[in-house]
Amino acid sequence: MRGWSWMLSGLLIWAAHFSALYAIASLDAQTSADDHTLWTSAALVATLLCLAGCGLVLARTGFGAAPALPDRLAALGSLGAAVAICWQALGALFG
Amino acid sequence: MSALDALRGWPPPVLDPAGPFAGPVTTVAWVLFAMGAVVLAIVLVATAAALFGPRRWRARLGGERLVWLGGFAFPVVVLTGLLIYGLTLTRDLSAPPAPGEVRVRVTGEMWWWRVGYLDARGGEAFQDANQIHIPPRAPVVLELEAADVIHSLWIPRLAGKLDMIPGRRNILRLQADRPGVYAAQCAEFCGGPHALMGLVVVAHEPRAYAAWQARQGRPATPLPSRGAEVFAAAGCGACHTVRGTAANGLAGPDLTHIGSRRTLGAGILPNHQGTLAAWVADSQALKPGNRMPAYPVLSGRDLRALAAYLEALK
Amino acid sequence: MTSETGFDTGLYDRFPTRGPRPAGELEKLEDAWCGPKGWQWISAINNNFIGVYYLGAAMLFFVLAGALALLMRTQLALPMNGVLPQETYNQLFTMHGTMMMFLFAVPAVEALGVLLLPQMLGARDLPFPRLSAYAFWAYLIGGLAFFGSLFFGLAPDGGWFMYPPLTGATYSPGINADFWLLGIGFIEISAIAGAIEIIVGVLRTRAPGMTIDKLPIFAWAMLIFAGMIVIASPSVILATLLLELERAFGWPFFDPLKGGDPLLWQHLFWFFGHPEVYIIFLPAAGAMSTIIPAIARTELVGYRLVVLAMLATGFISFGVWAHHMFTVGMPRMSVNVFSAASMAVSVPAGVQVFAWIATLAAGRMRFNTPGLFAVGGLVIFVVGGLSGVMVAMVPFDWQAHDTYFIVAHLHYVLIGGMVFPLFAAIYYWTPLVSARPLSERMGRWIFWLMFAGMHLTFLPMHLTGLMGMPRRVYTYLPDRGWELPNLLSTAGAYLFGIAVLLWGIDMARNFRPFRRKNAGNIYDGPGLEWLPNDLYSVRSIPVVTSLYPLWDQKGLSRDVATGRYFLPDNPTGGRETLVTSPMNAEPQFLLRMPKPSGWHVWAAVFTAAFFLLLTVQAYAAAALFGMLAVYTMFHWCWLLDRPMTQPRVDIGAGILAPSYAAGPASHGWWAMAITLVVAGMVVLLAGFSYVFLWSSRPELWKPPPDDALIAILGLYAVAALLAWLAVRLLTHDGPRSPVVSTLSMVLSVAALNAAGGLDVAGWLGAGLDPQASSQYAAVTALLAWQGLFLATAALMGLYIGLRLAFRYVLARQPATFEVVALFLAFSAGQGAFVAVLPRLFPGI
Repeated sequence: MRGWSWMLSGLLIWAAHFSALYAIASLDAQTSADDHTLWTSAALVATLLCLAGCGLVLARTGFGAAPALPDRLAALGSLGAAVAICWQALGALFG
Repeated sequence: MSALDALRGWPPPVLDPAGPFAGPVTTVAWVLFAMGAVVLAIVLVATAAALFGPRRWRARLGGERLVWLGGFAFPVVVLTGLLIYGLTLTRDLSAPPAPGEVRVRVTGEMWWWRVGYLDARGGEAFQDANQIHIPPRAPVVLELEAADVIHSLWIPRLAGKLDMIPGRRNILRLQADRPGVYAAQCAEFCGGPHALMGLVVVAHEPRAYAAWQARQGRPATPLPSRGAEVFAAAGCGACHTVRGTAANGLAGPDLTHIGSRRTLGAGILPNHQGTLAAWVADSQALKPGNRMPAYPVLSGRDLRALAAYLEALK
Repeated sequence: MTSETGFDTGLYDRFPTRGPRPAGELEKLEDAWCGPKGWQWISAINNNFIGVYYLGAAMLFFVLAGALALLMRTQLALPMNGVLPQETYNQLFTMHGTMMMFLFAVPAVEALGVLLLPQMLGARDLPFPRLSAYAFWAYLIGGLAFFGSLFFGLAPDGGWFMYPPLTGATYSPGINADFWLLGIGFIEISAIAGAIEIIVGVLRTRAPGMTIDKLPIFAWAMLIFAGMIVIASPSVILATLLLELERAFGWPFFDPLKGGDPLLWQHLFWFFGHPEVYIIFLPAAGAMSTIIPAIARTELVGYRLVVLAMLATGFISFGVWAHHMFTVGMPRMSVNVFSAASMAVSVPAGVQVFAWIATLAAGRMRFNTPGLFAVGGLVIFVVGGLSGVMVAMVPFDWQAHDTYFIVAHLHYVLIGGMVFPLFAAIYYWTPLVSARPLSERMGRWIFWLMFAGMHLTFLPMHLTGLMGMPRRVYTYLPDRGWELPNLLSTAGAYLFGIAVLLWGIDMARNFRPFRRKNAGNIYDGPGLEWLPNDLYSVRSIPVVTSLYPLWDQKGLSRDVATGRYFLPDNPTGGRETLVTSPMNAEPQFLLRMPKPSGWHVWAAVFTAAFFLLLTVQAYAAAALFGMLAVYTMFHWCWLLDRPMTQPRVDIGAGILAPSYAAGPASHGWWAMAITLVVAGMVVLLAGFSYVFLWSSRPELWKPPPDDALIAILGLYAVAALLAWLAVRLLTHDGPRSPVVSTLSMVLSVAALNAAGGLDVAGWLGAGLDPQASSQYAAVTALLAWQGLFLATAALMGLYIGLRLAFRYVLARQPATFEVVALFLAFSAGQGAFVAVLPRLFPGI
């Protein structure tokens, strides 16, 4: 289980970010205040946390010469996830 | 321009916008088509080179570098640009209505549109059906509701579509830059004759709009006629309202000014005595499944009288 | 690489073994795996048979659903055409979409997995052969009954996404919608059964040495596919259950008049529906990534990138469901996040496309039929992907949504991403299962006709959509300029139809399955599936040291065929396969596999009958057949976990392995764990639905009962504890441990039911009336779901008791107890969730 969690860590971080933003967007709509600053900041905090997570995974694996497949997938996943997380954060900023 | 001319499909209405809520989307469409053409060309050229190219080209293409460049770097750059463009536009186009904008409540019903014109206090001033009249060069707010199932109002030349969902109210803003007639259609499958659930949007010159509004607000003033008697005897008033007469049914469209409408049967037929008579005699043949029963009991003479009566309700 | 299980991988050096094999060994193997004779083909469970049946049935539904499309295109050839009446057309487009998605696309790729995976992984069969046979029969019977509804005018007509309120009892009073709801719910059960099979098969039955980085790309694809089914299909199962409950009993989940919300359906449906597209695409992409290297005779460029791309697709596809709902008036922040995720999901697709192009460049493409279909599919898929990026742009989607532009988009994606790869796969792998390959010459004709027909049909539809034509219209008015593009589309559809007809002729002329000798590796493929094989799959199970074993491991075919690797015989005398560890594929134990029998077939027949009778509202008969189905499944399970005869057996070269496993090492425990993930997703999504319904009408909600929450939770905890204790007691080798342990398990069941009873009593005391409001409907649904588990737990208690009576409960053989305990512990946890959520949220 730990092996799989590590291999999929980047993608799991993406999933956490997406869920957080979906929840934040729903709460924003539910409270229906005119001022969205609170929720936008919450989305930003979630984004920074998740990006830091991606960074940690990347730092732990690096792009060494021939890493084992799980390490490689963790690194690539974090890289891809970081892109998607930035895009989703843009979406929240433009909310 | 006649109403049915407005229904033509060329130039494609999505690419032929007539207002500021549709125009930027057309620009997006062209940008996207250009992007698509370029990317498709790149893929096709790369594939052709991979299949038929000289050995040297193929050696350059046949490595992970191509996957990183073509599959990751290039899409990320292009998509980031598109995303920002799309988000900006989404924000601009979905800005909340300003106070004082004309408000019209459009309710989707199986398979026609109830259109209520709202006064300044939000109350319904009068009702019409299957066409929306708007002043030009000013944003109009449509309050979209549904009476039965989900419908979706789509007026491609004026705005994107927005769904009408039972239990909810959605706000669609649109604006016509020029007077004219704009075709619209139900875009969400709503059962039976969903295919034949159209409507038209008519943008008037400001003065004509005011005149139209004044006329529509007034009750009908029919003269006693044989058609009026047929209308009453056949029980039309059980479902239809003709303001100013005893007919006060609510199930079907308000017919107070049906004679002034451009189309019949929710945007599917031109409106004149002939089509009115045909519709009453057997609307099921013209629009199978609609909620109005056929009236085979009415004689030809009765039908003609009834059609004349209805046509006179201007 | 360090060992995962303590197995000494140095032992691999003993292979290939030397010296002659003992006489009679092969005959014994052949005897155990002999093919069905006469009517036995119905009870066959070997994947060599079930895989072919399964794919055959999927292709049958492809042809039938395609025929419906031709009828629709005939109607739309001219404006106000009268070929099909409105109600028939509405049924046809509903059936076309539903059948293509549920009866063709998913089963077809699942069938491909069932057919190919054991051979690719070097296993004798999939780990649960009767389960895949059950999945097949259930699907075939259910699918045929579903299709048959067309002939009685009873086919569903609400569109394949079945939006309420149109599909509710008010606007669809007939049983047509019930056919959809019960039929699809049923077929999803079959899909989940297949998914469990595939996950356990890929993770636990690989050839020794096939570590996770040597896993064939197709197996990766199937693994992710199956994982996605496990996560996604609970959503559609829940949705169909809720809508059926609303239709049958008036529980208002979607009816806005009583606090329901039609949008709940859309969220649940698309949380399944969008991943569904990738569920279909991934296995086909895996096939592409297998076929293209084989045809170009080179390794796949960027194997790791492609694996990651498929994993990323699997994840991100769960974050895009609401892009089908950009026009429902969602809050802007949600819309934006979904738009961003929709863009992100296209990146992995791009990675795969460019990996294929790079592979073509690195090797030398051979323009045979599989190659043509692969390259053609690539081109078509790219067009569909690009229009996908277009509709991920929210403002453009406001225009394009629900028009023919979308019809064009989705057909480009699905035909390029799934149909063409499937045809490539059919042509590529037919020599594996047929005595003759399919015709190259006809194959080329079929390809070009299909390619031309595809573009002629769907390219004009982009324009038709921009010209204002909405989708799902049974006719259109003249003078809108829609005549020409529609006529072209119709002509293209017929061209496509001719291609499929030619393919049928090719199949009839050349497809000869179930022979002892098949055509073999005519394309020089590198995978284990091309080892010489028979009904027992490979003669011996090789040690794999390469991603492309047949290219890199010299002499492998010969050594495997002469029995010089693992398991050259069947030491316990029956059907067996090796179970290996999930990451490093180290041998763990010998799995004794079932023989063919009729029970799973009867179970499928009775389950199908149960659902069909429910649909036609013959409730008494349905109850009878439901009980018969339970009985047959009970009997099927009864054959499992029999006392072992030899604790350790020689699995080749003197290496000994246990012939029994329990708990997390065993395959059965994994299957239960995955089943419980499905159940957990259902209850999680039910929790989401509960919160969603509250958020839409909070003012209508009433306070929950303020009662024995602590007692309920305490009883559930006791139940979990007793279940755990039962397993611990059985691993202890005492003379009375079977009896005490069984007693503990039965008490656990009793505690569970007591807790559930308390929960229900509390709500009834608070005036629970499921028809009154969406709150009560949601609470009742949660309780009913838990009730289903409590009833199953009671059945399991009975099962355990019977096993004790028959002396099947033995100390140190706790496989069954482990599985039951897992179920009971889950039920306790789920019960706690069901008790807590509606009492504490939204607050008293």
